[in-house]
Amino acid sequence: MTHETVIKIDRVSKEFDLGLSKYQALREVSVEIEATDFAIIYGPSGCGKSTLLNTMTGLEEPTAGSVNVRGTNLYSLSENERSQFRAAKFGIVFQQPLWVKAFDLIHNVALPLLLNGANEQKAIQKAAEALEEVDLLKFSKHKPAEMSGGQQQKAGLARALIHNPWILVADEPTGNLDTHSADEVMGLLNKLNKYHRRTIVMVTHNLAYLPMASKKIAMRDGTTAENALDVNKLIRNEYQTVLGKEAK
Amino acid sequence: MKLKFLLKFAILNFWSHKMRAILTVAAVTIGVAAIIFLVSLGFGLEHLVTQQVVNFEAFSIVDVPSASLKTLGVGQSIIDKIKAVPHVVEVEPAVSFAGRFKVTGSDNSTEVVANAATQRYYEFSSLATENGAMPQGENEVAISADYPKLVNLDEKSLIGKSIDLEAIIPQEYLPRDEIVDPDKKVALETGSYKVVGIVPSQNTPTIIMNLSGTKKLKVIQYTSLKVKSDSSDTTVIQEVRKGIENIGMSTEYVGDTIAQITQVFSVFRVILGLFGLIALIVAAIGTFNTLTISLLERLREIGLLKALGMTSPNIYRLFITESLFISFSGGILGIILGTGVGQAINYVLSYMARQAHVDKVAIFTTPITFGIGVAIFSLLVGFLTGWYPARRAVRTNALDALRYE
Ligand SMILES: Nc1ncnc2c1ncn2[C@@H]1O[C@H](COP(=O)(O)OP(=O)(O)O)[C@@H](O)[C@H]1O
Ligand SMILES: [Mg+2]
Repeated sequence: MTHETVIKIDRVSKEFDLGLSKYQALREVSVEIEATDFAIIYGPSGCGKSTLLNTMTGLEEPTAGSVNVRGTNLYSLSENERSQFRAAKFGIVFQQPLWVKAFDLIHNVALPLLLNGANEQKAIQKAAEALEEVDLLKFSKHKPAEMSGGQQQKAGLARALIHNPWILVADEPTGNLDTHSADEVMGLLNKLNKYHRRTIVMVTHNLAYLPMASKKIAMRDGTTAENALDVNKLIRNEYQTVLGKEAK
Repeated sequence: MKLKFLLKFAILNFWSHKMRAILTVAAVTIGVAAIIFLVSLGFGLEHLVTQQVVNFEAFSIVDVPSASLKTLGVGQSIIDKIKAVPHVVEVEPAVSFAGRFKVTGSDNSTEVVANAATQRYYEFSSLATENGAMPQGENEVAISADYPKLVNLDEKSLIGKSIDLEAIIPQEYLPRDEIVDPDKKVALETGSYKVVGIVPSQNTPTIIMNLSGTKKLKVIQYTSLKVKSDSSDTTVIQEVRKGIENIGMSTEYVGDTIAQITQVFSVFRVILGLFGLIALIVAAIGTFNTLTISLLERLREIGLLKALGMTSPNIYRLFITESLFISFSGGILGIILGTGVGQAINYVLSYMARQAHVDKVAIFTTPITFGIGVAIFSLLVGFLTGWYPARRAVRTNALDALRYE
């Protein structure tokens, strides 16, 4: 199998203007994601993981550097072109469940197709197949908010994949789930990568998932860390501080 | 994004808060209904008044009034000249003078205005009897209802009675060889007639006679003319008036009066419309408020839609469509409600009129163009109220919106 680069992030920096001061969230980050990758970005809170992921999908314009997705320079596109590019090439899973309240589950899952001008009947047909796959077809006519967190996240996965995107990105998709549901979602992602050859970029806090990754991107203070062990330690410390606080 | 789906999306969004949706549309409905109701009242009253003033034929008739004739009467030569004016098809003369009359055999005489004209002239002025018939021959007259009222007589008992009229005729109206005393301005001429009908009140006791009835009074001049044109088209009427005025006569046209009435009523309608507009403005502010609240409630949804690749034009369309939907459904319901209430009142009034044996009346008239105008206007209002929330939605940053709690 050849090594096909899907995303090439080249010396990307991001500075947030806070009014009185500036905050450097990303410092010259360079990362490459290949077609077969299950890439996991990890690091302590506030190190810039989400910001990096958002620059990949075109949601957060970097202050410097470039993002190329299969030869398309994302930030040379107009905002609308970028929207359409994102809609076509990326599937996005969010940390919190996000739904259009007015629609039932099946319309929500079909939304990426419908927004793109697809025939409604065909879109619904596809959504039904996607829901079948995650075993949620029985909730088709329900409002998503009526389902459990784990169910909603699996449905979110179905929505992210409905239009057969090049890349699936997920920002802490298990962050709000109990361990059982989290494992289920991770199992689905793993299956998608291994058997359906889907490129996946995921952000997580949970070091337990690292063994699944084909590429581990450790981050610290807005940049990729050379010493991954340091990062692991930092995350553990963070947990301990949190746990310590809870103990008190 | 397909238009059909956009509509479905907008309507589902709108309908996701049912109570709020109903109240918002109800407010617009009431605002639009108020405008329709009040302005239809204006139109209806105008219609009622102009209908009273003219019959249909009146629009093709130009008056040559006595006011322009000073003391000089109009003779046959002028009538002939006017007949030669292009588009003129009929010239009907009338003469009026003062006098006194008494029922033959009685002692009490009454001051009276006498009008003599051709039958067509009376048709042109829509004069008809309420009892008996219009005078036909030279010996017949009709009397206005003012006289029986004045003397406390039953109208019908007058019919068939004969009267003696003493007319005061200006010298100029008489043939030259009839002028007895050139120093006197007027001459007294007398004649007897038979009452054959009663015409509605003319505000002062009036005798209506056929033009031939003036023969025995020796009158050969006329004091006013009605000129019928072959068309009621304004340019034709204008030409006819010019032609008559070139002969040295002045003209009056019922259209002028109608134009004045219309002008007064259009001001009246504007005032009524403004009252209705206030209600609609309040409703528009309500719609604006609803849309803004729903925008804030849906900020995270907007972030989601943007992240999923919904383009700015489509987000704009989604919000504008929702606003247009509110105002248009409110507009249509308002038009139905406004005309419905007006028609219901018309119906009740007509029913009461039938019970009272008087002509049926309609005080609400809604011209179809006005209804269409209001529907378009309500869409415009929808566009205006939706514009700002739609712009805000478009300008919202997707990531900020996703973080919004
Ligand atoms: N829109 C923003 N404005 C200002 N600062 C921001 C913004 N987004 C993120 N940051 C800051 O940038 C840093 C990195 O944020 P983020 O990428 O969300 O971290 P994480 O690794 O936890 O996902 C944090 O310190 C955060 O406070
Ligand atoms: Mg994050």
